[in-house]
Amino acid sequence: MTFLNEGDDVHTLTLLVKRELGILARIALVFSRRGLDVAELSYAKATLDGHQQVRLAFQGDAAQLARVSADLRKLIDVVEVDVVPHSNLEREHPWSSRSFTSRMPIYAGSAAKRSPSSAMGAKATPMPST
Amino acid sequence: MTRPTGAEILIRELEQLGVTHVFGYPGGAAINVFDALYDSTIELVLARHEQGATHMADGYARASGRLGVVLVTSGPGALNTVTGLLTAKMDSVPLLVICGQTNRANLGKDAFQEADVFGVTLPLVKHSRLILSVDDIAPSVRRAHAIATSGRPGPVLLDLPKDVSGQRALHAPPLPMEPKADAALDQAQREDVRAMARLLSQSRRPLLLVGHGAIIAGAGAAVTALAERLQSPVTNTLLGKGAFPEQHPLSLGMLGMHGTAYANYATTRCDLVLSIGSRFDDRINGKTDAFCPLAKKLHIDIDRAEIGKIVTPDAAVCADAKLALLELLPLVDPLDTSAWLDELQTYREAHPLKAQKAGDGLAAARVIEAFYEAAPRDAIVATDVGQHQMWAAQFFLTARERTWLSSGGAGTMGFGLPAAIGAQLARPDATVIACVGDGGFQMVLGELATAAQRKLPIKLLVIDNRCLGMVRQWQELFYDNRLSGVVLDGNPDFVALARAFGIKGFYVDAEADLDATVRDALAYDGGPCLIHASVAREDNVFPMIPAGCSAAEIVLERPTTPLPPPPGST
Repeated sequence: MTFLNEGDDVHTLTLLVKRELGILARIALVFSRRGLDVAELSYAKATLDGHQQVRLAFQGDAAQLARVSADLRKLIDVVEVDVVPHSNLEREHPWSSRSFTSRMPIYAGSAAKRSPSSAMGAKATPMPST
Repeated sequence: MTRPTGAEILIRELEQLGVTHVFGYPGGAAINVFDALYDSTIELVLARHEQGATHMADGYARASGRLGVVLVTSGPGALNTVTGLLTAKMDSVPLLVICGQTNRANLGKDAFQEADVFGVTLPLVKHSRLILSVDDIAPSVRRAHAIATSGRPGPVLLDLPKDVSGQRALHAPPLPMEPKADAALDQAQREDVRAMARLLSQSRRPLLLVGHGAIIAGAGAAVTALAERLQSPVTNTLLGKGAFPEQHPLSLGMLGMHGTAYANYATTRCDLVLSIGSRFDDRINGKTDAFCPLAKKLHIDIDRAEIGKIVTPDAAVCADAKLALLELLPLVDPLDTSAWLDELQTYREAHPLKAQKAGDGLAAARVIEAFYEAAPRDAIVATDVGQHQMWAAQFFLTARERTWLSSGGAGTMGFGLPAAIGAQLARPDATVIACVGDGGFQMVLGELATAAQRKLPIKLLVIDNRCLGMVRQWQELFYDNRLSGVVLDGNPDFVALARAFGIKGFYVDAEADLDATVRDALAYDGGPCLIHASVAREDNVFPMIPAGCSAAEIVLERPTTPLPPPPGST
């Protein structure tokens, strides 16, 4: 049972996180405490040493997207959160049977392009207004 | 030289960080750490329950601004800190909770006193770590301290298996202390402050709203300077008491559900509200679309996630409140607010705060007022949660930062007495008053022994209305007076109870004896004392904005007709 409204969008987030005990549980709790259900999740080694990349999708409204993004950014072991713009997603429904990991973004040269310091910055990622 | 154990490294790191007190309760899985404490300069404060230890560390931290440290054992010991973790998380209190854990090889096998404490506490901490190697102890403690005390403070938990605390390190030189970086605003933050200054310059009816963040940042003097420069009235949240002296002519006192009529009136009329370290929570903002309806909203908060969470601001600065205000001050000129201040003064005179009597007997608000009149201006007040808390917030005006300790976000009954113990240890020379209700006090009364053992000169004021007054008030006002589960018949004789702990007791139930009793209690210097104030059962806290309603729907006095159940939850 989740608190979904008809017409809520599916949102896709990508995260760069430190590989630490409990990080997946911390991420999951940001959603479950709001009655939101994570519909898809992948977790794989990132190119940056000691880091993992997470890609997940959930259904919710714009305000919920803003809240979960903000709370994910507060987690100490989360380095960066990106909201994948809708136009970048394939047109099919995101929880189709196709392999999810095949659509993983590649953090090419991630250490240089996405320095951890920018991840906590205000302007790193545009946030939808509430 | 013997190589140090993990427990010894832990204690050495705490000493290096300047920790003076550890609040705790021992047990098998933490016994190595208690053993290491035996040789330490750190003072161990033995509580009578782990929840008490956690609130003591919390009170210590709130009163001093320093890290509060808790040490408990595994399983039930650790789980008894859970309420204290929530309390500290909600109110941004820097806490370090160290829990013993079963040996690594036993993890996940339901060993004796094993609990997945790391898992249970995940949503309640700013951060946590299960330490799996002795080499990880020193860096984990350093990092825990930095995380708990920096940015928006909060609780950090370290789970330490017994075999790790007992293991000897191969090589563990003390970590060098890192110098603290000078904090300064960056270019973007300074631009945000300038945008804020422009909006302020256009305001004719400004309102400053100060919260706990202003106190955490030590921004009190800057708040006063800004208010006086702008000639702006100031209101404070429950936890913002002390950020701006409530005796100041520009102070409107507390706003919100049980705030003053004039502070809430000001929110309905202001053309600009500047929140300094408050999070617009539902105690001050029952109905977001009707909050400060005529105002530009300005928000200073160190936690980016708070900006736009409840109220969408017209200008915001994500920064330390003190740094932001110091940047803002030279950019603003005095505003012509005389008409606005006159309007508020007229309203204040029409609807002053006064103790409202309904039942027979002594009014609790009068007892609190008598303590306020007799106590030193810098006395520390720690409260529990309920009617007495709101009366204390209304009638015990707060002049200074870190002298008002109350569980705001979590609303944790049982907080007051242990928090007062922690505060007295942090500030041995201060007058510390614990103002508690008969309900919350009985949740933690074992901590009387902790206070008695150390002869801490706490003044424990028990406001006894023989019921759970705030719930009774709701049942009376909104549920046709169907009193369910609120009557505390069977309360002990509190003075006799105090005596059983070797504590001096005073009793008062009449206005005529009030001033003398308060004077005697404040003058008593033989350790802790308990003042049992038997008060009217039926008195209610007013003003009251029913939960989920706007400030315009404020109820100023006991209604003559029943009210509908409020739309808000609590």
